Amino acid sequence: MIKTLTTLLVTVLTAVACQSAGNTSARADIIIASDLPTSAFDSALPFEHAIDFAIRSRSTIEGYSVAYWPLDNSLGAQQSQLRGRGNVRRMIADPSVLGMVGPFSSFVGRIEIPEANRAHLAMISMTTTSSCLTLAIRVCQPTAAELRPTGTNNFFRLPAPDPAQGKAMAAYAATKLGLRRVAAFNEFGPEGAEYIKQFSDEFASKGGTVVYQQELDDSTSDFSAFFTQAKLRRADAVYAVANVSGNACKAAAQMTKSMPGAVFLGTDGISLDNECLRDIGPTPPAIWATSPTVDAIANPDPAVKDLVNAYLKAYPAASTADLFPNVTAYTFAAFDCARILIDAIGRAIKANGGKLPNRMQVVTAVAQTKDFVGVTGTYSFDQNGDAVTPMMSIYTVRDGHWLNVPL
Amino acid sequence: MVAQGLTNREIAAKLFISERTADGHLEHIREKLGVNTRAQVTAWVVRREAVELAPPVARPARTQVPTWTLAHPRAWLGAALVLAILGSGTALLRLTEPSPPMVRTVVGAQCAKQQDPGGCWEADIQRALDAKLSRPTSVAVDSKGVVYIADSGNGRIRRVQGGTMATLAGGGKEALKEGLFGLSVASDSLGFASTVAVDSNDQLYLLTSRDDVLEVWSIDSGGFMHHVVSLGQSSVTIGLDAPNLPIGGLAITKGGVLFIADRAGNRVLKFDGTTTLYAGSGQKMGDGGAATSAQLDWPVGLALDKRENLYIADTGDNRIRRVDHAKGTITTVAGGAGEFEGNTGDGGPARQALLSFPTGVAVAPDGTVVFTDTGNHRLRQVSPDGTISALAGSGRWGFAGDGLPAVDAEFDGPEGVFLDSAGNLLIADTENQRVREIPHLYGPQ
Repeated sequence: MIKTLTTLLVTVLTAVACQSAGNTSARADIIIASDLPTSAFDSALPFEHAIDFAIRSRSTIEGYSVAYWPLDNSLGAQQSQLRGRGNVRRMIADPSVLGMVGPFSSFVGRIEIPEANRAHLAMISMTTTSSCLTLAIRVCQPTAAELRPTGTNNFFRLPAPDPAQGKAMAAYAATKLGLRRVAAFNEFGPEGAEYIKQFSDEFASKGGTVVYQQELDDSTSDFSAFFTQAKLRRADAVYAVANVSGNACKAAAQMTKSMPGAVFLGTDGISLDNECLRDIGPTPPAIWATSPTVDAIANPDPAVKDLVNAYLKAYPAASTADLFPNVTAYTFAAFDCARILIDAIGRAIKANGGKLPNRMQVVTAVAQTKDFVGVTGTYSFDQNGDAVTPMMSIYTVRDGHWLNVPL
Repeated sequence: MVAQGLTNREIAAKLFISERTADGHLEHIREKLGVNTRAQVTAWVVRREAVELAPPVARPARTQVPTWTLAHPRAWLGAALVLAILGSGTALLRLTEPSPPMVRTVVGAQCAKQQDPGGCWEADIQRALDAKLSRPTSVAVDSKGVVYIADSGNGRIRRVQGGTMATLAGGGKEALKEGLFGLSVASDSLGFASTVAVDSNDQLYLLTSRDDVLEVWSIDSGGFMHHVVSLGQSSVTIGLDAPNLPIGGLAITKGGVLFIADRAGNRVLKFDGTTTLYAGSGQKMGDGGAATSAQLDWPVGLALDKRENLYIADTGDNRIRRVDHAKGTITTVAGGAGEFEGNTGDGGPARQALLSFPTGVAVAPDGTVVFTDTGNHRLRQVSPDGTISALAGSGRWGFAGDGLPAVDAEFDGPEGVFLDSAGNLLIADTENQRVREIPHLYGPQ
């Protein structure tokens, strides 16, 4: 992987150094678009930079010029389904657009995917995690199948569907933490039950057992009854499918007294949340939680570090914004999405005898992506469009801070 | 905040924006005011506050408004002197030029702390100009000048009377509760309300969504809520974590007939004891044909003219539509020149203009149609002869221009709009978390 990324770095540095800014406005044979809420959220701007960074590293794809078309789906200060859908329609109307990166949020995706699907426009998202976008889940409205009226998938993503965090947490709990008996509570409703099911299945495959499970209202503030039951069943850990506003971290603080020595496991409902660090109190239990991201800054790989530095050098203005770091956990996922599209378009051109491919051929090429080495992971896609090995990280609390740990 | 001596970094922290963005806003402010320094901005703010804080927040007097005004009695004296000295017809012409519409804020203030999904919340603040709103999406005014606001992001219905604001329903950040208005009586959740309307008897109506079902509720003079009608499954998934409001629109005839825009169902329904399809559900635009066979896309705002012709903010189609009351046919009033959103056409035929997601609509007594061109952060109007023109908003998003000509003001995603019986235009300036007003825009209805 290091060799591959080093090669990439050299390519990026050379290409970016040779190109002036403003590539995005150039007319080109191939256009890669994005749909992001950049005027609503400053934090979305680094995604555009990262996509631009990836596209500027390639002046051509198999001899065809390529440009970036960033579109903004903000309406007022909010993400807008309507404007997002309008943006997708604009992309579809331009035959040069062969793929898009985005959207940022699942609720925008649910209205964009059918539009893009009818036109066979490939979409790759770096941030959407709703199960309903890809999985056949009964409670989803609309279903994943209804989002794809042509019957052929055109939507791909790098993060895992939310409940896959359960599987990742279970694997880590069993193999790295040596846990065997876990009690779980769920404040996320039907989707939360799916987290626990995936946790339970993976945990069982590695010799563990979920010894107790309870559904709780997200207004629960006293978890003593749950801990009593967990303790009765000799649980050595608690898996909390809840978020900070649902008092998950206050539950961790209460667990310290009710179940001394027990481990507290959580989801991205608590990981990287500073309010959680306050809620867990001065003597918290051992806490581990998943996050469906990969933070490039935390990556010790020298090639990745050099790439991050090259990115920051290419976009120095953004890096001065200390309120919104220019490199967030998802920034290089956006970079990877753009590179996966570029790679797929290149393969589609080759498969088409050197001629520009149509959108369906690009969709097919994206679906056939195999072991693509990116900054945030190595990617192939399943038949639903989900990454076979999605982005996932584990964080623990150490000295009052969230610390990324190796998987 | 500049006037309070805050640095760009401190402003950025307060507004949850980047320092770079704060600097950009300050640059716009400097440009707008024609000044160069922070000190000059501060001086301007101090002058404006002296002007804006002086008058009470009460609704303007309901008097016949001339087409031209002079703001101060001394101006009359000055004008008389000028006329006497010059004896000039030119001076007379200048004096009788109509004043440009001005905009001002009537409810809402800058948030101290931004909350999801935008806007802010603090315990009830009585002075309307200090109130904290969160994404106000709809506004209505009764015949006595009482203003009702759907404070959607806060899950509350607000009432403003004489410059004082109160919460009528909703506990903040949660669904409305059934029960007596003004009390915390709660039984069953009413869901989320994004739209308010008032009938000719000053009865307040709410359009709500509960479990994906649109419902209409009325509020009687004693403050009791009455279920009016449920409209069936509408696939509107509402959560306060998603900016998914408004859910539709509401208009009421003098005879009490309700028209309900069902955004998710792409249709407008009529309720006069029974519910029938009034417009939408078709697959083609359908101009000139039966409204019930026409396409509507994400219809939101509704308004009725004197003849009870219905105007629809056909938001997703980037058009304003009109359903003829007598014939039941539908036509496009504004927009529709192209396939996508845009911001063109002022001064020309409204049907050759491009709009951007118009959300709210109102009709003046003379037939002028006013609408919020939400994606363009403007308000535009269509005169009875079909010409479209700018009414308010420079087209650049932001908050500026109170006390200035409305066309120079800045709005941010304005949605609901309401023309009251005195001719004042109320605007839900949604992303600015305020309700603003262009007073005396038209004569009394």
